[in-house]
Amino acid sequence: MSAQFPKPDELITAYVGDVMKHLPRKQRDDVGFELRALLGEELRGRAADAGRLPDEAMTLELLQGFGRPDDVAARYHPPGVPIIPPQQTVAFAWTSLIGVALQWATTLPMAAQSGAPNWIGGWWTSYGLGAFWWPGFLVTVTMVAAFVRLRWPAAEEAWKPKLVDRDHINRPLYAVGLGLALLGVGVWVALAWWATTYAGTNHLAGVFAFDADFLATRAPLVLLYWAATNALYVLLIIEGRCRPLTRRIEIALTLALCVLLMWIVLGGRVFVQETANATTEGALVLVVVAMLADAAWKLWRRRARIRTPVAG
Amino acid sequence: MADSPEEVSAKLEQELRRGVIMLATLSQLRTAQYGYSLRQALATRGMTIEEGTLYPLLRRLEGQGLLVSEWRIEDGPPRRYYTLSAQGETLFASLTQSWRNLTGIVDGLIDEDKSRKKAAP
Repeated sequence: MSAQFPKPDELITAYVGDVMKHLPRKQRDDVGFELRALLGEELRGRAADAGRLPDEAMTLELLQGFGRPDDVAARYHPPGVPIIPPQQTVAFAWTSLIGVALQWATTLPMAAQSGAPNWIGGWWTSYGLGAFWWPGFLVTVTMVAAFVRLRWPAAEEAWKPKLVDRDHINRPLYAVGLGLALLGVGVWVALAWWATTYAGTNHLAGVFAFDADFLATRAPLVLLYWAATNALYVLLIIEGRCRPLTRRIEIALTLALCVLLMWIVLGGRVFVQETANATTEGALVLVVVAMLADAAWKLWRRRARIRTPVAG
Repeated sequence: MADSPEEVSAKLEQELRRGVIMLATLSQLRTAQYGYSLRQALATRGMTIEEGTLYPLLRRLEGQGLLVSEWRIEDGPPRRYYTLSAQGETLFASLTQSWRNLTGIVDGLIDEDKSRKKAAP
């Protein structure tokens, strides 16, 4: 049986049909009818120029030159509103990937430790695929933001200079911080006294009973650190500004606290009771990670924003 | 991978033409034209626009209120004829003025460079 080549008109009709699939429903018939007529005229024009009747090859050349049906349909649409603005595309992609990777990195070892048969399959159908809620959430947020930009363009505020005095000290805030720090010291000392005194007779006191070695060796250094920090706070509140020296003392105290906390964790038990001890040590590690991240962020923000290019 | 010089040149020329195509199209729609006749009219004046660009452009301009269209049957199949709307005529006059200013400025810039080269020993 010989192959049946479609006639030029049939090719054009098929092509226009494919374009119409990608058009808004209310435009389809009108644009489809016009496009088919125009392509027919284009084809007849080319055939007249070539001095022959239109054939399949000529029709295909015309249609392929016109473009892929979905591209052609896109040209009929007015310019749309990008859901993710071009300048945010890379940040969006990284935020999505890192979010998914963190979830996988956390849940995969847990699934592996379960020792269940086919744990990979179980992980993939639960946490593995479930991690994609994060990119979906981000897309939803950006869609809402795009809608707000479109609906209320004035909501996007004009740029305003941010004159930030980085050395300025917010005295009321620092005073509140100092008060909370003193309260923390008081509660901690009271807790240590109460737990040590009533550990034998009260169950709750037994839970919070400090390890004797911790109280003898590491706890005094915690009090010393608190004393140094509170002295710095008092100095800053009095002066109202950070000086290079106080800034350096602040950084040194932050690093000292990191070292102190790691020593507390690695140097033995903090609480006698196992659960309280494990929970506290885990929390202290998280505090160290958060402090280091905060210090890195502060250092990064203090870098030169506009670097001088290297000439030559 | 970086584009070849030919690809860069083609892209920049395409960008340059993109804004001009609209003005060229509006200029020819002071009298009613349908898609194919408009393309032919532009081509005979040296402004070749691909059909895949021109036909959707007509619809977009109509959607923006710059053109009005109607189906007509004149010695052949039904054809959709486009012409400038009142808003399109105003915009065309404004764009024409902008275009003349712009070409005057750019011509001045280009010629300034030429005369500087001539003056150089």
